[in-house]
Amino acid sequence: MYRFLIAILLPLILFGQTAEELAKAMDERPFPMDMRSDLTMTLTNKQGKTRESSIRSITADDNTKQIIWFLSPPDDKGVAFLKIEHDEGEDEMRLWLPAFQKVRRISSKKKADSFMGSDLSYEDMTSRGLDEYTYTLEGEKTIDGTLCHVLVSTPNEGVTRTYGKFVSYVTKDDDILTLYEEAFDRTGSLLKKRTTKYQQVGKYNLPVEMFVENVQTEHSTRLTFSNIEVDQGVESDLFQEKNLKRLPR
Amino acid sequence: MKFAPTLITLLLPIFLSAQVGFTGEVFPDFKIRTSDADLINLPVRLATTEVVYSLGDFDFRGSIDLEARWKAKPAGTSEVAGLGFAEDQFSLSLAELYMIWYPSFGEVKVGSMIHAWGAADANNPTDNPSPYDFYYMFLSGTDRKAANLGASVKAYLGNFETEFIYQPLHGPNRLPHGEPDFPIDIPPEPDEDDFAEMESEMELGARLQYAFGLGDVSASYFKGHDRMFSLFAANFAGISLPDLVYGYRETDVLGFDFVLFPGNWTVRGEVANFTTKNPYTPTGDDAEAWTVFQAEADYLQYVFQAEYLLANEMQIMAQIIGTSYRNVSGRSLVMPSEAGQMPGVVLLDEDNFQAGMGTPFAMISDRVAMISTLANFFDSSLELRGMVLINLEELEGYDLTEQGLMANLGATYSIMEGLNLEAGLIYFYGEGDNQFSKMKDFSHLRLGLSYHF
Repeated sequence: MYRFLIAILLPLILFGQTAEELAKAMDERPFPMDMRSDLTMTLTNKQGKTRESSIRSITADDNTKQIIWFLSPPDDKGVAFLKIEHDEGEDEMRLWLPAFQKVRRISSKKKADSFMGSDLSYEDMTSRGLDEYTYTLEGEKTIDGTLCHVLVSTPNEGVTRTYGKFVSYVTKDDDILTLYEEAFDRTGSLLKKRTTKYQQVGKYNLPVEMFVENVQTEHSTRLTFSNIEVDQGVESDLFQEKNLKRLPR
Repeated sequence: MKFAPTLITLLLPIFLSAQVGFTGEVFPDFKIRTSDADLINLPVRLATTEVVYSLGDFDFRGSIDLEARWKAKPAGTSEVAGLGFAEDQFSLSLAELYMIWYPSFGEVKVGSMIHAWGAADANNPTDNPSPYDFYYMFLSGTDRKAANLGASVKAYLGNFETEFIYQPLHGPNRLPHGEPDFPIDIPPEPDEDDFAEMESEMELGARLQYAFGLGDVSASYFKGHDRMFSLFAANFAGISLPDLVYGYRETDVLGFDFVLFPGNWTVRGEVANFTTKNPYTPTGDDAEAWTVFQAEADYLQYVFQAEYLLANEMQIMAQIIGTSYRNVSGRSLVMPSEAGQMPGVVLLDEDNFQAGMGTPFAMISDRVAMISTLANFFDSSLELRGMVLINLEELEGYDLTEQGLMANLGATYSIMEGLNLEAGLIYFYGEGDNQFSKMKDFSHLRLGLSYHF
């Protein structure tokens, strides 16, 4: 009888993870309390012209707080951005513009806006609410030799999002990493493709390279992470307006 | 003898741990008048460079501007800026020099610096701690302001932010005296001896900002002196023209500003109430011979700004900027337009009272509407900007030709990383008796380059 039950239930236990369970597992994937990294952002347009920026980024509290400083190119040097997501109420976003000597509070509702000319929108930089999407599994696919779940996330009714749907290719191993993702606009057309490479940093698997391509504009952004430091005990008061004005040491 | 090596040993690690940052911009440009294709003879800011020396919790910042004229200064110009070069066509000036200390509660700044207050992106009536440089009044940001010596303390406490400013010395606006090509009527520059001494030049400011889910709100107070001079007193005892005393009125400013995000809009606004008076009291043996123009006024300046983001990240922004005069009282002097005539004393009212502080646009009109837009093309290689400033001073029986407008079209094209080609057209239109019409001959094309390093 036992053997019979095990034979029935084991496949369900091993392979019967529902889409919601997978999304929840992805959401609960261990992530550093804080992360400090240097980024190189390379923008490439459809003519092949590139523009490179250097950025220093510090995130904390599950990525809900982020502060970034532009280190180059010279015309962007000193520009800094602060984001604080709130569970209730509007998120806070502030930009430090050295030429104006002013911190400018910007609307967090303009989430579809490009972040500093890249293919990442402000929405791409904020966390996706687990409860704000409906999830379905649509089989499996191999990405770079790794077998992946195909997870489709659709925003629930009443949830305002730029995207109409995400199709994420999530590794079937314990790491549950999103290696590749397609984002569709609200009309159902493919808008962006994102490929992510990970590396073990301490006890975490963290992105070290991200390539985002906007297929509609034929523009792309490559983000390369370096000097990653995790769980350094970043003080929460770092995420204040005053720290926008000073390039980090 | 052992003191020096010991000191070096102690200090060397500190200085070695310091960081030095060096940035700058070179932006030669030419303004060509549309009416006669002649170069406009006003200085241009050719280059600016900033050095930041960071040591622990301290930054030392300094910036230097290089100003140039493509043509010789007009005769009679008394403006001297910084260190003069040969033929006074180039001049270097120390734009800012200050130290910042970053303690855990906020920041403390000491030195000669530019302050920026207010929620609106431009034309801020609450932004009075720093004087304006009228040569660059059509530029944006801190480019059109001048530094003043002082100290400021900013503290952050939860959702609150407070700032206190202390300035021991008064800083007037830099005015283009004796510049026939400058488009706005600027009174002749009085001699230094003709200015009344201030009892105290000290200026104080305080600002409190509260951030909440829907936006930010701030209240501010500034106590200082006008940035523009005005006539304080006259002595008619002489045979010829009267002796005149000029000065900077005492002005208190109570301000309020906010930024809110209703729907997909961003709304920014500022209101400032100015209370000003002439504090001059003649002294000396001939004190009774002086006629003091006891000007007093309350006036309100405001700016309301709405922004909306259109498709393809095209931004549109509108502003209403205005001044409303209340309780204007006192007298002033009208100088004769022809030799042999006597000066006349006039009663001050809202039509002839000149605000000495607040947004520079108050000199142009008591009410204007501005609409501006910005769009990027060719993958942000080309930025196009458009702005129109419409005079709304007389709303009854509105006539655009009578009231006038200013239009500004600009383009920035990225030639290569850091190097941009700049082009623009400023056009004034109007036939009425106002500044817009007087500025018609200032309509010009602007061509230049900008290089960041």
